This record gives sequence, C-alpha cells and structure tokens, in this order.
Amino acid sequence: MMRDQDHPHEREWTGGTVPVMDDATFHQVLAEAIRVAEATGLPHAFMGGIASTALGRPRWTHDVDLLVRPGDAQAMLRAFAAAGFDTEETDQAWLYKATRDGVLVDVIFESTGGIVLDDEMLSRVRPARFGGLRLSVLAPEDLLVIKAIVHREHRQRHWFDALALVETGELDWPYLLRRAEPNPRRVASLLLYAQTDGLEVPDWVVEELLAKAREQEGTDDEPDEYLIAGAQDALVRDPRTGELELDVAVDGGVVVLSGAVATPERQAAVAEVVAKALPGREVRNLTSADGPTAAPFVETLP
Amino acid sequence: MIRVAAAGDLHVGVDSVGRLRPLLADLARDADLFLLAGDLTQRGRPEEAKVLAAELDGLGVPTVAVLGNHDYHSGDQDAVARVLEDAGISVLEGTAVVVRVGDRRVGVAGTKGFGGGFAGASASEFGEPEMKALVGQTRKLARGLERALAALRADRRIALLHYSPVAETLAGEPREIYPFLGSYLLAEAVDRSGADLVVHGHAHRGSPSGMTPGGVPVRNVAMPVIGCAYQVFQFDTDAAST
Repeated sequence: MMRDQDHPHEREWTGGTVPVMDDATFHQVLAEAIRVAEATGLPHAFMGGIASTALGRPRWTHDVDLLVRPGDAQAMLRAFAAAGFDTEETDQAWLYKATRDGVLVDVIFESTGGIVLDDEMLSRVRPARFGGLRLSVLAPEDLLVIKAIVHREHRQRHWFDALALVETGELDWPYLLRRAEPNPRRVASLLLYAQTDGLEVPDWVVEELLAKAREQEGTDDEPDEYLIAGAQDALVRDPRTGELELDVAVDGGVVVLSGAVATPERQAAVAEVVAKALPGREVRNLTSADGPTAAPFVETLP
Repeated sequence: MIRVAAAGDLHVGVDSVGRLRPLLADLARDADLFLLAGDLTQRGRPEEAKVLAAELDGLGVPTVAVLGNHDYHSGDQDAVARVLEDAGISVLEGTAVVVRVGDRRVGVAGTKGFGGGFAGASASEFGEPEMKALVGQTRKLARGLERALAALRADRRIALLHYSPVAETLAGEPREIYPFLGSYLLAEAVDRSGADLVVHGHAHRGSPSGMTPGGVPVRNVAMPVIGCAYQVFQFDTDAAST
C-alpha cells in the first residue's frame, strides 16, 4: 500500500535536457555548494547520489541534492543566488533549484512520504567525504527510508542505492524502525528483498515493520465496537487489572475509560493495559480510585 | 434491635494493603454482624484473600461471606475460602450460619448465585450443553440456597448472594448484560423459603433497592452503589419474624 500517491516528489524534473558537464566542473560547483550551505549556518544534509557514494556504493552522479528544513528553504536559495547561482522556486511543495555552470543543486525541503529534515534526523547527520571534499550527509537509515520510498520503475537506482546501504552492515535497526514511519511496508519490502539477496537483515526488523504497517492501516478504520471489545477483553485478561466492571467508550477515536477501581495502582494500570492492547490509540483515563467516602447509610427494617 | 452491616465487591488485591481497615474503624460500634456479598478479591488469588483477612483481623464483629465471580477467576476459590475461614470468616455456599445477638438469633443463608436472566427474558435449559450447564448451575445454586434458608431457625433470616435475584437492583447497568448479573431463580428460592432481607453485590452500576415478587426486600450493597464502606440494616426485633 503506497501513501501520498500524488506527492510532487514523484514527478520527474521536466526543466529540459540534462546538462552536460565535465567532472572537474561538477567537482568545482559542488565545492562551492558545500561552502555556500555551510556559510548559511542553517541545518542541512546532502543526500542523493553524493550521500549514496559516501555511505554505500560509489556511483556516477552529477546531481547535488541538498535537504533543508521547510522554513529554511528560501534563505538557503537566497544564499545560492548571492553566490552567483541561477535560482528558481520550482515547486512550493517540496523543491527549489540553483544552477551554476550547468550543475544543478536541488534544494529539497520535503521528500516523498512527507519526509522533512527534523531534529532527530539532524542529530544523526554525519560528516563524510566525496571526491576529496568534506560535507554533511544524512544518516544511512534516513537515506535508506527516503530511497526505498522514492523507488519507481524509472528510478531503479534508488532501490539499489538503498540495498548498498544494507550491505554496509552498519545500520542501526531500532533507529531505522522509528524512521520508517512514513511507509513501513515499503521499507519492509526492501529489507525482505535484501534478505533474498543474501544480505544480513534480522527477521525481527521485518516483522516489526509489518506490525507497524498493520497498526497504521488498522487504526483509521477499526469499528468502535471492536475497539471497545478489545479494550474490555484486555482489562479482564491482564493480571494487573482483572477489571470487568469499567465503562469503555470511544469518543472521536479516543478510548475513554470510566468507573471506579479499588486502588490507585489499578487506576494507573487500566490505562496502560488498554494502551498496550490498542497501539496507536489515545486513551483517556477518567476512572476514580477514591473508594467509599460517605458515612455508612442506616436503614431500618421490620 | 439487630444491626447488620453489609458490603460487596471489595475487589481486594495485593495492592490493597491498608486501604480497607481505616474504613472499618467504627464497624464494631455500628453493627452486630458483617456480611460480605462476594468479589472479595480481584482475581481470586489466595494471597489477595490473605490481604483481606489481615484488613478484617480483630474487628470484633462476626463476619459472614459468599464468594463472587472474581473470587473464582483463578480456579483457586477453595483456597480463597480456606484463607478466609482460617481467619474466622464464615464462607457460605448453599449453607447457613446463625449468629446470636443478645437473646436474638440472626440466620444467614448464602450462595454466590449465578446468571441466566429474569422472567420473560431469561435463558433456558435448552439446546447446547453449555447453555444447559449455565442455567443448570444457577438452578443448583438456587436450590442450595432454598434448602439452607428453609432449615434456618432464627428471629431474622437473611439471604446473602453475589448475583442479583431481581432486575430492579440492576437498573443502571446495560440491559444487555442483565442475564450475566443475576437470575429470577434466586428470587424464587428466597420466596419459597422466606426471608426478611436479601443482600447482593456484583452490579456496580446498579440501584440500591428492589423487592422479590414475594415481597422480600432486596438490597444491592456493591460498594460503588452504596458509596460507603458498608450499609447498616437495623431490624426491629420487637416484632415477630415472618
């Protein structure tokens, strides 16, 4: 299942024929692009073929892909303009371009699947070398996710760039699991493919990605009745709660628990148990653990 | 005057240490007898029963109990009952006890009871063996209650249940679950043998009071219903028992 079918990143650049330039010119313009990007002081990371070459497999590239935060894209483009690049605000959804001597710098601020340069990604940006130049590139896990998602019949190199990152054997699996959020099923398919190609991928990573995918796909359309029944079943079965008598309702997708429990420990446990049983669901705990407070009621009978 | 305190659905867990006892500080002043209407523990574990026994220890009021469905959950109901009996609490199931209060005798006959529903909307012993077993079990427990009540010689007779004998004290619960909360067979047993009061628990969202078709007052003493640690029933023993 593919999300964001119409995301603009999936449209190809149609600005004209690919310019022809020699390696020396490319190298020179790339060096200038690195200098300009660093001089802005704005968070950024190179991705695309340059990062693939630096982290995975060397491959020919004359593209420069620079990822910036959405709010920094215009400032970055202005810096390139000031340094003598021709610039254009190509697509307000995801892409600006800067060109010099026939070398194209894509200033990307949203990749397919709604991927943007966030704080967690920035904390993993690392120094790398490309043709003798020092530059900052995305972490291999982030690059893998982006490439797996961008992969199409006419852009097969992304798939094989991503596989080369698996082949390094240096992936941080828990981090990859977190970053695969935009399309865990696609990332799972890449890793399954990698396994069939003899690459080292633990089964649990694939299984967790599939579980995450099912969770995402299931949470949007599960009927409230089944959510309520699932919550009640968990409350009865879990030894921490053993609660049969609580009220469970679903209000705008939020699971609401109410009623009385005997102790504060059980009050905390009911929300934990339901949250665990219904992953991805917000749980509102309105139960009380006050216990009886009134004075005993006396009734006289004949 | 005979004063009987009653409460149900204590749901004591191993996390309940010290929570019940402060609520019972005045029990000996308020009552001559204490009835516990089932769901004494949360999961039916003997260690939970030990916590309850410790909370009730030395209160100085004779205590009589029936078990509830929660007390059966772990399949250890016999051990739960044993822990309570060892602590001096009478645990009834188709049995009865008589407690002397001054020169008066109060008889309590008890059963956990079971479900099946109420006249006009009840399950029958028909069809699958599981359905026959459900109704058959309620019928068996009701019969035990009927016999135990009938054998009681006392100034006042009380039927102590966990499940409800009438639908009235369930008002507030979803109607769909009434058959899981009680059975008319229990009321029928009470009316055949006669009693002065029925107390039960189980229905946390139910209502405090009702009456059997034969006119015996029914009280739901589940703690969430009464909103206090126990309810006290005072019997005017100058009048004769029914």
